[in-house]
Amino acid sequence: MALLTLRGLTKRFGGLPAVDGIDLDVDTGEIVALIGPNGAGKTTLLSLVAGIVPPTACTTFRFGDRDLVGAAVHEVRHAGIGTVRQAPTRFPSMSVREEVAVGARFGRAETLDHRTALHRADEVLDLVGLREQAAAPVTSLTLHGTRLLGLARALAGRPDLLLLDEPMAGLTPGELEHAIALIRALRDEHGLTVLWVEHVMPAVDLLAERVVVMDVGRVLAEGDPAEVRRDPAVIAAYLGVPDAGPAGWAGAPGAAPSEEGGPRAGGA
Amino acid sequence: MAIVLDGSVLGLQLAVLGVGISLVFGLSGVLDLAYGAKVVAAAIVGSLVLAGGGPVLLGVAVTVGLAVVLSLGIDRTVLAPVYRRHGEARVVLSLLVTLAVAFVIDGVLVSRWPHAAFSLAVAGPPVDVLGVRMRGGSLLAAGLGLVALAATFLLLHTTRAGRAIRCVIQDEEGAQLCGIEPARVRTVVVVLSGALAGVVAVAQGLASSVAVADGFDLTILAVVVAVVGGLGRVAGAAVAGVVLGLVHALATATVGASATWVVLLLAAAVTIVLRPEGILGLGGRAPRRHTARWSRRIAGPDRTTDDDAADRAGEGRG
Amino acid sequence: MSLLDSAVTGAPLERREGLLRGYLPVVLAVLVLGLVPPLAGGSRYLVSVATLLVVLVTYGVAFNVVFGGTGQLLLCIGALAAVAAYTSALLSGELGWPLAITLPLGVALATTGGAALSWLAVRRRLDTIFVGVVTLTASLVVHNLLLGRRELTGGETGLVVQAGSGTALRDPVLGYYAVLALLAVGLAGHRAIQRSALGWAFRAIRDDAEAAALAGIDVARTKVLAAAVASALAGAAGSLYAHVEGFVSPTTFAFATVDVRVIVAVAFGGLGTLLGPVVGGVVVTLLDEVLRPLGQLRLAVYGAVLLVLFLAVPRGAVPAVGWSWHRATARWRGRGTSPAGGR
Repeated sequence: MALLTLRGLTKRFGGLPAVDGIDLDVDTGEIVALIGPNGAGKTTLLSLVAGIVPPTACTTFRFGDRDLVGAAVHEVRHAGIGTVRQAPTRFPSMSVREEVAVGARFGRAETLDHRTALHRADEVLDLVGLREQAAAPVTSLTLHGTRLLGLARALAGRPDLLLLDEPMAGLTPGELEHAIALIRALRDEHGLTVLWVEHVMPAVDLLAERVVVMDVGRVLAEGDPAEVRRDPAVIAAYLGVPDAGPAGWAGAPGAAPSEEGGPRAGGA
Repeated sequence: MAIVLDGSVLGLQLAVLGVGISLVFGLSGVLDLAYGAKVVAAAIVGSLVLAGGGPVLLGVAVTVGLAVVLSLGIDRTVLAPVYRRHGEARVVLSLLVTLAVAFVIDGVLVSRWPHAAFSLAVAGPPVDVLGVRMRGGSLLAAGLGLVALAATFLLLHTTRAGRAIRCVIQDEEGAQLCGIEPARVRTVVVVLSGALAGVVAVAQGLASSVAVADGFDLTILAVVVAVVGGLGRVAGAAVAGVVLGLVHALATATVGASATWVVLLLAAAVTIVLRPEGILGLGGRAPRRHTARWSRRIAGPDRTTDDDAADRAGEGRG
Repeated sequence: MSLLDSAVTGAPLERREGLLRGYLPVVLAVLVLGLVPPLAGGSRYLVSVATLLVVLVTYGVAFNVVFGGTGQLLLCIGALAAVAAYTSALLSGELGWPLAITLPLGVALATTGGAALSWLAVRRRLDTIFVGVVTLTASLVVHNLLLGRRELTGGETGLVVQAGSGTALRDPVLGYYAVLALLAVGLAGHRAIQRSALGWAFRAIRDDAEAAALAGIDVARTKVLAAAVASALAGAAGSLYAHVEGFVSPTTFAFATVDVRVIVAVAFGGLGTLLGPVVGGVVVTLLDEVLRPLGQLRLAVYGAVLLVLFLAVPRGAVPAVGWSWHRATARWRGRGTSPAGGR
């Protein structure tokens, strides 16, 4: 039974469709990678699911037994969807432990009390490996540290589904290994479902059980990584974009362009 | 017709006020609450020249000159620490500092010349304009406002300096990459904004008079016009000024003087709520982004902090 | 750790003192202010200045909750106070309704007004400055209505508040303690917010509203709630003051009389800090009184002093003192730590 069901999800920015009638199902316990050339609409899709961007149209957005069409950001969060953006925004006046505790306290509809939230934060910091930095100001973290912080804040709210936006971009090989192991552990040991936008193809090969390829706001292909890689339509889409072709598929970690953007994603 | 003409006279002055305050805000995120005080200071000193028997043109020159000098002086001294802060901290500190400056200017004026008023009486009979009898002073004031606005637009749209200003207002980083020096642009804008304050003083003196206590009201009008126009948007501020002037004249004629301000302010508030991007709508850029942008405005390249990196990344997302 | 520290906004969220320590700053501040009437030696003038001071501080607490707490620049504190005060004064005066009904009614009206403005701003996603200007225009609308509806409000000459005359409120000293009691409620309420989940939500929203929403905080509800709380407090302070003074005029609640001074006091004391409005309010009032002999030049000197203060301690006095105190005690204990995230 599908955990997340999307039908007819559409977002236009000034007439240009960034996401164009997407249908998508994610089953409980799956790790699904969302890939595609720059400007394919992957980040917009995540923002739509997270409720950050209101959709132009959406016929179905079901999560578990909840109907989330038109839900606000915090309602999506309370339903059990945790979002980590590519450049996670932080609470600059807080320590790492406090920021994660905020995620714990407000992550579900019933607010946790002071002590439980901090306790929960410590557990999650152990899990992601940030325990050492618990007392440090959030502004002191590295890029990887900031991503882990964003992940910890999302996890602290006890999500069922994690939305991750390019968690691997720009990481060193060591950090990449850590990130891959961490996401796998989250699924295997904590039963989380992961929907994840990625450009770093080796990570997709290692981790994804299903790959959804997007191009110009539509689903181009989907299947297991090896299957999708052979799809001529996918090769064509990537070849149309310099530096992101199949060569980048096997390229060094972090070599692929990491920015989602372009005029279609617009607004910035 | 009389309403339209009366409204235009007031509206053009409001437009100049709004453009003057909006230019600086668009460039640097500093909302100048001393703007009205500067207008009054310039006008009062101008009136002293006239009272001392100076020729009218000298009075006008002194008024505009003083407004420019005041603007530049304030910008270079007390605002310097404000420019070293970023984001909301800069907005809030700029409000407080310019408010304190307004107190200083107002206080000096009120204690030194409590009853001074600046008025440029224009001799001559009323003139018929499209069948409406208008005072010569009002017409001159309207003409002056029109010329000042036209000059500002010409400066912004035809000269190199103007292009540089518009570049920095839209995208400071990009402008810097093109070799534009934001600090120099700021000087030009501050001088321009000061000159416009001087123009308001003169025009107001022509149309009626400027009294010592007018500073606060002028500032509030300037802020309201600038915001209705879409903060930092020069053309928007000009249009907003004229429109609000017309609303004012219309309200005076229909609901009576006492309710006029209520109507005007409600009109302004409704416009802001319905169109926070300004009366002219979005012209290719989103002013709501301003808060994030201010953090990178003006300051040199030596201050890239973590927060800025986050800001930048934040703006890049789709 | 230190008492001052706990009153500073940057104080760690994770540390929460016991009830006694948590509310100690509130109790101390109220006790100190409570000493004014005995020390004033029966001077009616001093007590009336102190009454105005306490009312200003209460407005400050309200502004601090809504702006320092959630970043909404609500520039209509004076107008909200006016709405509550005039509602109560007019209903009691013209219709003879008892204060027990008209006071809460006025406060309810102010609360609704403030919450509605906030809701509008949240719905339209207005920026700080835009919220400021919309609420400023609302202020001016109220002001002009008070001036214009002469037959009801008496216009600029003001209105003698009949209701409440002959009650304890009209006794200067008892009236002072009445407004002080309201301030105590306001400060204790702010402290309670800081200690609760709502306080965490405030901090998160101030830091980054979008991140706060992603963490599961209902940003819109929190902001409107903050505005409602602030409006209620401002309204209560305004109408209580009207009944203590027995007189209201548009100037009593004008933007320049109330909001400007509130902003100056809160910004100087330290935005978002518990005791900032108290410290700032005292400084502003003292400045006013000390400069009074200067006559008209007062405003200029006042401005100059503020200029220096703002540029010297842009974060506000309470955080500045809190920081120095913290650093001093840290050195004393031989630990070079700084408060995490103090700002």
